[in-house]
Amino acid sequence: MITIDLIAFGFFVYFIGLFSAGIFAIIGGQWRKSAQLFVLVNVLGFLTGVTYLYGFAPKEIILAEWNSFFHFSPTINLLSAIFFTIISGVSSLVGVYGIRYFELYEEIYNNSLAQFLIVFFVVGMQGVLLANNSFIFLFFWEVMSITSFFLVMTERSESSMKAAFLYFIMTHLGAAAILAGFLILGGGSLFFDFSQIAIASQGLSSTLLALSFLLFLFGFGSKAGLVPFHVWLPEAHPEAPSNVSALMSGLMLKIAVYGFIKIVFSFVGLPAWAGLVVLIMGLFSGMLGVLHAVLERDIKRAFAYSSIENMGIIFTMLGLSLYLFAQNASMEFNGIANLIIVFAIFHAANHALFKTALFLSSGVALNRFHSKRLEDMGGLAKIMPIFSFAFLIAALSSMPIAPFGTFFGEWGFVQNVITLLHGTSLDVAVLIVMVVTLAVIGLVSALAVFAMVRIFGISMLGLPRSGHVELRDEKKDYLLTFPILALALLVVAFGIFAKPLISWLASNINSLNSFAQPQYIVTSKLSSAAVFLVLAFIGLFVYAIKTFFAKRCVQRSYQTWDCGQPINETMQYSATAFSAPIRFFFLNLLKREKILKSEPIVLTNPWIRKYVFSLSYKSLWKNKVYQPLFDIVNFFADRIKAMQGGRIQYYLLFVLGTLIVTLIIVL
Amino acid sequence: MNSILATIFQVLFILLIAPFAQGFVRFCKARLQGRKGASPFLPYYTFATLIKKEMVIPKASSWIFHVVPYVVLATAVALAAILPLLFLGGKLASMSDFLIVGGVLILGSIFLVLGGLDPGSAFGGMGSSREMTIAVLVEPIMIMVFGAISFVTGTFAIDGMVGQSLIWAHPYLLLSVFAFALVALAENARYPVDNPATHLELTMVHEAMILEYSGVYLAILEFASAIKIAVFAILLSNLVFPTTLFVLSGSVSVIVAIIFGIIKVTLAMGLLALLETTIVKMRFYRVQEFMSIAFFTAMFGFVIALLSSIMEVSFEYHTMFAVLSILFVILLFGRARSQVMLRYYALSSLSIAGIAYGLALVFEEERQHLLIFAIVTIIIKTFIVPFVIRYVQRKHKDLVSLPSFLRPASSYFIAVVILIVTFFILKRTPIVGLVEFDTLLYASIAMIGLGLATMIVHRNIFSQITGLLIMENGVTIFTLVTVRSLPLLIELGVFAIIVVSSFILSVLSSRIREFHGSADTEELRSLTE
Repeated sequence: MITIDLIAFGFFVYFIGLFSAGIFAIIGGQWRKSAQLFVLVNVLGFLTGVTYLYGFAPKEIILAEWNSFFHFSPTINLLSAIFFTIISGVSSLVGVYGIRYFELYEEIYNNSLAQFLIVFFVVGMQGVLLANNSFIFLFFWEVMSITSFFLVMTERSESSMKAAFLYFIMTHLGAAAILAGFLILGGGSLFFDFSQIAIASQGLSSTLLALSFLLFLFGFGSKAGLVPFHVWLPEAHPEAPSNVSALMSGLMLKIAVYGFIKIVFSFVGLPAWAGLVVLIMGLFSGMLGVLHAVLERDIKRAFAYSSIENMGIIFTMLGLSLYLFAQNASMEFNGIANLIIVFAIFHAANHALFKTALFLSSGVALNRFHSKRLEDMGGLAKIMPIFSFAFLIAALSSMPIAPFGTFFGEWGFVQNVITLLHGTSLDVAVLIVMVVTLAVIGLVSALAVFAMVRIFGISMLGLPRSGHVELRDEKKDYLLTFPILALALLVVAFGIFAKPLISWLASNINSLNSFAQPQYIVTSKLSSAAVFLVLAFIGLFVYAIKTFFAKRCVQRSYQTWDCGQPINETMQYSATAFSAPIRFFFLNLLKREKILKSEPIVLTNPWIRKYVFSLSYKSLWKNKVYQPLFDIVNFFADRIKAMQGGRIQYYLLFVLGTLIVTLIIVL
Repeated sequence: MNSILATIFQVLFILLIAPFAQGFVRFCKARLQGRKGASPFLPYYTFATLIKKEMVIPKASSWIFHVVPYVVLATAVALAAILPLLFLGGKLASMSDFLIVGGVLILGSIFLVLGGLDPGSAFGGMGSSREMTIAVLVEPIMIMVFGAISFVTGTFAIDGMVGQSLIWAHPYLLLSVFAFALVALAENARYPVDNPATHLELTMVHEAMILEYSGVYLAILEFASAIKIAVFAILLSNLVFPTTLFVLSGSVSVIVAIIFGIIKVTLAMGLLALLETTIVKMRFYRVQEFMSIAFFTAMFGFVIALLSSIMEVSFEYHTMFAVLSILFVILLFGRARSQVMLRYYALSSLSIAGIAYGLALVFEEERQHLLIFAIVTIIIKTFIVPFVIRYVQRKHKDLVSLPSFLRPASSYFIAVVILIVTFFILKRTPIVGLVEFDTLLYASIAMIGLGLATMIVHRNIFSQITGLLIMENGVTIFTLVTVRSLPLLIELGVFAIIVVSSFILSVLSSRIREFHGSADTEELRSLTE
């Protein structure tokens, strides 16, 4: 009785509901009702997505055919349904969070405008997933980009405006690249249907194929935050309000991954170097992202860099898969390549969940401490124990540790790489690259653990380092804590059900590209649920033993041991100090400025001195790569500006020149 | 005996023997240091006493302070249950995948770190920061070690890896086991990474994090660290001697398994005590050197395993000695003190004598020549040349320790890059097919490259001599490969030249140092009047 019509109905109601939520927000100014409708509609969308995945999975459903309206027929297939479900589910939880969060920030943000923009941001993202031709794809991509541009500026402060404009430029450069790629594929036609990608790519010459691949890599890579196109991410995500940062970092980056998989993996005859380029860019992003996540002192910038790291890991997996597909001499690698894509999608799904949870937590911390700097935070676990529990589970879920879902994505990848090393038909150079990939992924995962432990430990434990924390009762903020806990527990659920989920996904993977074989490689007999059960059982067992053996244990509370000298909160380890060893070990890769000035307070006594210390990081990429590019563009723009000085002779000359050039081209 | 019973048995055994392991290390160290030492069974009494004491909870801490001991003990007990320590094929054997074991270990470290930060003291923060750094640096090494072993054995579970005879069939996995031993030292807070006996800021990592815990919580945390060290000791012995484990299907004598377990723990703890008495604890900011050595050793093992399976190089003695000689030169690369460098050079030359010996086993007709060559190499290069250089340095009272231009980790990285470049160059040149022993040719060219790099990278003028000697070693290997043995007179002539030239160069370097006042090539670059 679950028919296609029911699913189509679900989708239509979803979009109509979203539109109405948007209208509610902007007309009336009733952002609260709009937010509630937003949550309800997203829950409905989530249920529709799950129904599709359960009932119709790999089949592609065309929901409608509106040929007059730019040939738009919204289609849903396995890949878009996975991301659709995740986006709806996460958006509903972020909507719940937003109800309380916007209440707290009522004076600073224009709440109804922000709510309106959030609704259309989600409309844009979901529209991209349902697009069937390039025009609709780019239309909804633009909706997504423009709404997020305004959302970054919500605070209307100087730094947020600058970050928003940087984001605006990068996202439109990316969109232009994607448009150019589509034009090459479509042979100049703007309405290029996606079912024709494989055929169109076969008809291209190898230079055009390489060019379109590079354009798509730039377009989707800059949106996803691959190095070296990542400069906008650490600026834009921290400036937006926390629920918007969560949406952008958790969901928008996944749309870029979706676009990349859908389009690039349908190309036929990509050269082998394409996969290697993506792999190396992914490794660089992972390394740079995690290193900065460890060192950053602003909590949201650290989370933004962590997003760059996770995108790097996903693109590493995708790059390896692309390389294996290009080994077309024997189809033996197609099974492993498909399986690696499955692990990449699984990791992307988990990242959407935990990154959203982390950004929402940072919003709570921001609200309590009124500062984004880690150096001002501390001691929140005593004031908000339930929230700190939720934050702890969210932070643990971001690390590749056994019972959480994030572990299984990387675990599968490592196992498949080691299995691949037995493949003797691969080039020795690539085998060495794979060994290096393993080492780098190990280091990146370990540094990710360091980053999250540092952020959680410094912000939640100890005493408040600035001495100032808002002591509101935690129960008033239950709407803030509940989504974080729900998302973190979802990651745990993904971890427990990892094996069935991945097997189901692997068996349905044929729909993603044109040449895939139905067999897949089962990696081990390990059951993911068993890991969780064993750890939980042993934990309870230990607690029981302790209660049995030490029933009468007494405890008293006293101040921290201080060797006789009273200590206060400024004597704790700060965030900068915590990451000092890593900064020292990787000093060659960073550009940091350390200034230490010491002068004696009284000239006659050289031993009592006043110290002034400052430590700042400079972005290597921004200074050495982007700044010179901007300067060159500025220089030429200045020169050309002379032409628009108001002298009519120059205008006539310009028109004449254009006419001549057009005639030359046409004739 | 079914598998569930075996797992429970193994856990109980580890729980009972863990305090003895901790106490026995202390006892052996005390005896080696000339003291009488406490009884090895003292920790049992310590834990019993701690349980009865009152706990003091710091005011600044939160609920996490109370959760930490349970989680840490749970991870330690999980390790004891999962890993193959007494029996193979226990109930949880399929869970002993090396990534999961790594995840369980790091989960314990994470909670210990949070417990250090919670009380809000500076000690705790420092211990937490250092412990987390060590955990970070250990992770890639674990992946390299177990990646190599799983590549060779074809299984991802440690249970399956230990079940096969690793070292004897694949001698290059000794490198991975060595790297794992270094990792075990770092994970268990032992020398040279951490000192478990003191409570001073200079030497604390693990102790700093558990400083605020007392009473039952302290007993739990100490017990957890005792379990970890017992588990690592037995796992290492199992990797080297896998036949002492018992497979569950088949007639098993539980008593023999227990006896073997006790013997392994005792021997391993005795060796650990000996190691701790011999070496010094490193300064914390030098831990990256320690970890770099472990990482590059593990990666070396992995790459050799990869290449030997691809190129199907049969592993004979001369190949092993060639690998050893290169390994010693790479270790030499990161050091600064000339005495240490000369020691590694001597070991490298010893390995070259081993190559000659290995070739002597293969080629019957030139056996006598090669054996004489080996003996003369040992006499001259391992003993006489280092002695000559050190004699000259001592005579002129030279302080001979200057760091190189690069930090040790970067030096090892450059060495690896040189090895990779040499590999690719050799693949392209046509000489490879003509000569029989590809690995020896590769070793000789690599050694020439490394000698050149030593001369470039090190700032000390005495290191230039060492670089020249390494290059000469490389040329020797090349001669062994192509010509295989020179007439005796020529060889003696070459050796005489080496001795005399090293003497003259040392004297020259000492004179330069006396004249210009420094042995640093950076300062010697500027023109003087």
